[in-house]
Amino acid sequence: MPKNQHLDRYKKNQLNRENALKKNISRLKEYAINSDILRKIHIKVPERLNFVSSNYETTQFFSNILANVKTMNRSSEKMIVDLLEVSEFNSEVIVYFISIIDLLSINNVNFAGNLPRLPELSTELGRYGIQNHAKVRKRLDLDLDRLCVFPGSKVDVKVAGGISDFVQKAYNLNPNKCKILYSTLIELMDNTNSHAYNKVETDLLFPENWYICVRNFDDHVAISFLDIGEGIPRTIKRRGLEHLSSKHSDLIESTLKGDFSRTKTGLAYRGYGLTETYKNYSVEKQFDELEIISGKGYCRFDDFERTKVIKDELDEYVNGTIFKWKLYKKEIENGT
Amino acid sequence: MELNIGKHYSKYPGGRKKSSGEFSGEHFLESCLGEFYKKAFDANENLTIILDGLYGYPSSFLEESFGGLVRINKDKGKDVLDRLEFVSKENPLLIERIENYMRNALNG
Repeated sequence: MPKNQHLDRYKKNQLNRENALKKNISRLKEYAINSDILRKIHIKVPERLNFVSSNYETTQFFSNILANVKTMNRSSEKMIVDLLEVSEFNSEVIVYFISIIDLLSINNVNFAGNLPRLPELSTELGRYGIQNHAKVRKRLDLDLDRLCVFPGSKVDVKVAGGISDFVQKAYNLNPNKCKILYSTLIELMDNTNSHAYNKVETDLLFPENWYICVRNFDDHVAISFLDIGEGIPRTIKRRGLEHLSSKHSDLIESTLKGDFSRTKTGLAYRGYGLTETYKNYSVEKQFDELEIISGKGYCRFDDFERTKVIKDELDEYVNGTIFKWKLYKKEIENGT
Repeated sequence: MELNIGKHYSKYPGGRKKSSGEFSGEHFLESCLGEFYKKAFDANENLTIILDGLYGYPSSFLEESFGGLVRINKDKGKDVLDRLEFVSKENPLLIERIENYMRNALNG
């Protein structure tokens, strides 16, 4: 047999062996994921999930997940998130949790979890569409008339338009308020796309998404918009002594009020988005109960004296930015 | 000459830059507003811009398109503000906002 033919047959056999080995490894991995072979990392969720009232426990829980994603062996370990004892949560924490689940998925983390022991909380989690982001064994139903979560990246005019239409139909909202709502959502999406994930640490893949939660109550619509990026305090331009020390809530307030151009682009004509949003709250009074959490800063605005900010410094850093506001039905009916 | 943004471009104005998603201010300036302005300028006509009928008016979109039009043309000695007329029955205050963006671009 000529020498080349021997070589070709050898190469072919070698390739077959490699393919068979790859197949076996992939079968083994699948088996390991579905069985109990993988070493389990248990992460217990605190009883109360709230970035403000249970700040330490809540941020520690999310930090713990991220720290484990960085250090765990993703092919031989599995993360188990134990929600059994959860007794209380609010919208933004659950949507934040959904964004963290998306982060686990894109970082190829094997993870599983259980649902809260309290049946009403399990059902409530289902309404947030958690089953669209993670496998859930129990049947959970969405309730799209009362609650919708929209994830997305970039500026999505159809999502903003859809939310605006939904709110107008549900509450017969004054058209100007709808336009303000649309514009606010577009500005926040644009900010997330342009700034939120620019400097985010690179040893993890981030979903680079924004998440919007719209909740329809009897007397109001509550809207939360969040990302899990760097947060306002780390992405704005600081000046003078602010480099040394500045409270995050002060930085958020100053950014909203547009004290000076804080955009890192250095272009004077940039950075209108957040100030315009604040103006729509404080001067135009187009929405109510504005709250912002970013980094360690928490700002809540007083609806009776809209330029007055109730500020607080949280114990632990919240990655990303959370905006919350409400549109009250009573005001809507009055057409104000 | 008349430019009705909702009819000639989109009812869904987006963010600032093309990289941020569809119907951005940058895209509107390049594909629609800039061309309408050039035609009006060449014909020595004013350009009337109808702002009604849109889903909203994001400031980044407005600044990038109208402020951008001023920035492009100010080096050529063209006074964009003199040639544009805005119409908004839905929100007359919007006109002042846009003109402010344009004045800031002129002085910036």
